[in-house]
Amino acid sequence: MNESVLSTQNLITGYQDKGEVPKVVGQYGELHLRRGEFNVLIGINGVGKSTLLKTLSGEIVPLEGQVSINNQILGDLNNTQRSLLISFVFSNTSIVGKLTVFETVLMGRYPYVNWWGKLKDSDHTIALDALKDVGADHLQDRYINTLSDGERQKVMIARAIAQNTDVIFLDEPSAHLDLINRIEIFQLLKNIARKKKKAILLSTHEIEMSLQVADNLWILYGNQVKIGSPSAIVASNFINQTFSSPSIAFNAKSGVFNFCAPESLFSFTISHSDTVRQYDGTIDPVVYLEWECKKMISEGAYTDENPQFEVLLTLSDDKKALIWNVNYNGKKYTYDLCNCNLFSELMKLYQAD
Amino acid sequence: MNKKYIDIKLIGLSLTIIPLFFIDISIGSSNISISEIIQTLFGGEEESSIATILWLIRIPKALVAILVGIALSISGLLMQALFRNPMAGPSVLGINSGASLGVALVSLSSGIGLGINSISYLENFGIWLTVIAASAGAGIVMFIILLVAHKVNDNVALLIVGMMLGALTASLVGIAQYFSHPDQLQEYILWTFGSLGGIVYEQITILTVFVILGFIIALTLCRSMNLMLLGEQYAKSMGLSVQKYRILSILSASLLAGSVTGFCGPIGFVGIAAPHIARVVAKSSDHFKLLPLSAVIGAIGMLICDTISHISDSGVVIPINSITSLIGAPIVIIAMLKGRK
Repeated sequence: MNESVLSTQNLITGYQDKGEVPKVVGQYGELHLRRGEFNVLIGINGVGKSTLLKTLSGEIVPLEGQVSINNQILGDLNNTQRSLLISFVFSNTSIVGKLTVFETVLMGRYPYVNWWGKLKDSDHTIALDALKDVGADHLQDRYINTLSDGERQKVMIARAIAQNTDVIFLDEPSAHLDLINRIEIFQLLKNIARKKKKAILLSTHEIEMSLQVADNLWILYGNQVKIGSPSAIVASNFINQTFSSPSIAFNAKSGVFNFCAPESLFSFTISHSDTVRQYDGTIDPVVYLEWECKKMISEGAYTDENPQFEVLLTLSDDKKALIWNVNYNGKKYTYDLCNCNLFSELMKLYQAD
Repeated sequence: MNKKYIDIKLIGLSLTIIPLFFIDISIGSSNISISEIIQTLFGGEEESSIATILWLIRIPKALVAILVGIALSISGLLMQALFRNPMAGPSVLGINSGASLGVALVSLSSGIGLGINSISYLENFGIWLTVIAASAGAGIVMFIILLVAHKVNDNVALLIVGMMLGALTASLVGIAQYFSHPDQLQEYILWTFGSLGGIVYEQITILTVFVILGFIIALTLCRSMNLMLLGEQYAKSMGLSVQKYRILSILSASLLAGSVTGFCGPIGFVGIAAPHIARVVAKSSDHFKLLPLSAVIGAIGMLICDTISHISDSGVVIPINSITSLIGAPIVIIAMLKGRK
């Protein structure tokens, strides 16, 4: 097991206003953040992810217990001392004014300079290396407000690396990013955790992606936390229990959340004839059928031993078109695959009764 | 980083202060040629009328212009960084208004029954009284703002308190104006036009001390101001003690703007315009570059404005506050439009 960098004892997070009863957000007891591990914090909105991050970073004082990093108790340290132990990346960066990428990354060195702010040559080298680590050194002279959201987050991560802390917290860093950038950021962080022996904790709503990349998942539920490797979490069916909603179900095999229909409408089976494989159009009939099936289930159709509808995908005689053959109450209907929405056609038949 | 590049700009701009200074002291109701100036200043002629005009009127006035330009532009830069708002200036904290209230209370006092005679009868003491009243007014507002900054951890709230204090003092000034004699009213209004003149060397010394003090505090805040560009969250995560930074910013800005308003009356737009020009010149928001550049540009701007204010041969002097606004407002607009590109 890797060396623990951050640890907590009897941790209870929450808020306390003067003269009021403390509002407990989470009772987490003993937590450990280990060197070289990429940890992902997930949980529904309002469950206390930000509160936990702020408590672990010393911005909020815990209601009970304490947080220590490298055997230093966070409550005893001031802002500057904490900035030598923890760096942070947030979801949005509103930068006012003109700063180049390099100047921004260089700010990661500010905790190390004196009051006058004199930077050394070594600080410049560290900043440039950090930019190289995130693969953004070609951007160094660009103004930060001309970057895309994804590039900007990479720069902010480089700045965190330049800050050279053992712990890096990221509060929903991928919230405004597109899919490709999200994946890149996750992989980047995992590599940084490995190569630079950092302890990283990232909060996100990207459960599916976290399952693939994270070393550990921290799942907040109620006022508890469940920590485990993705395999352990999935195998214990924990995700379905935690993120339970009538409209979504987690498929442990595919690692994907599926939509659930609000109500069950009718039962069906769907299959295809062997001849469809001879179809030479632009679509793959088998894949098409699988997705059509998924969509129908999300709309309220379900599979059953005694289906009301039997659907068979076949190839037309001239081999140029795909045809849905529907058997309903002993009657047969056919629909051209290209010109129909299968679910609504079945729905029409179903409602006609 | 274009470190050398910026140094050249800064040095170049600093050097232009010298000719502008000489132009400023040569132009006026009686034009004095540069050769006459040099002869008087370095030739040791002390008895001539030219020497009197130069030493007692024009040189102090030009020196005050430089100090005012430095003080107001740094004060503006500090406020723009603190509130993360390019439209912030020294006036956002209500310090100008506080000074106005102080002066209004003194100059309009007999009107509201405080029993002090019109300050014009007090002659030399009157100037000091105005300065003291304005400084006290500015100081009281500064104290309230610092108290609020200490208690409330929110810059928007601070901005609102500053504006409300401004409104409050403006209404008090309004009441004082309503009940006062037209002569006294004129005195007060003359003060609101702002003036770089009539300030003696000992006052310049005091002003210089304030400006140096404010400048030194501002110097220590460059790093913090840079961090604030990334927002308060990031600034904190990189070790900034936001509370300490806020208090020091307000303290420095108040010392700079308060002392200037105390001695010269309200002078608008320099504090907003100079940092804007500095940003355009520097092509950067790095406050290590912006602070000295703003100071130099502020000084240049005030020297130009002062020269324009007494450029007419007839001895007419246009109020400095009107000139700075007249020139400053279009500059802010141009700087904003340029900055957006």
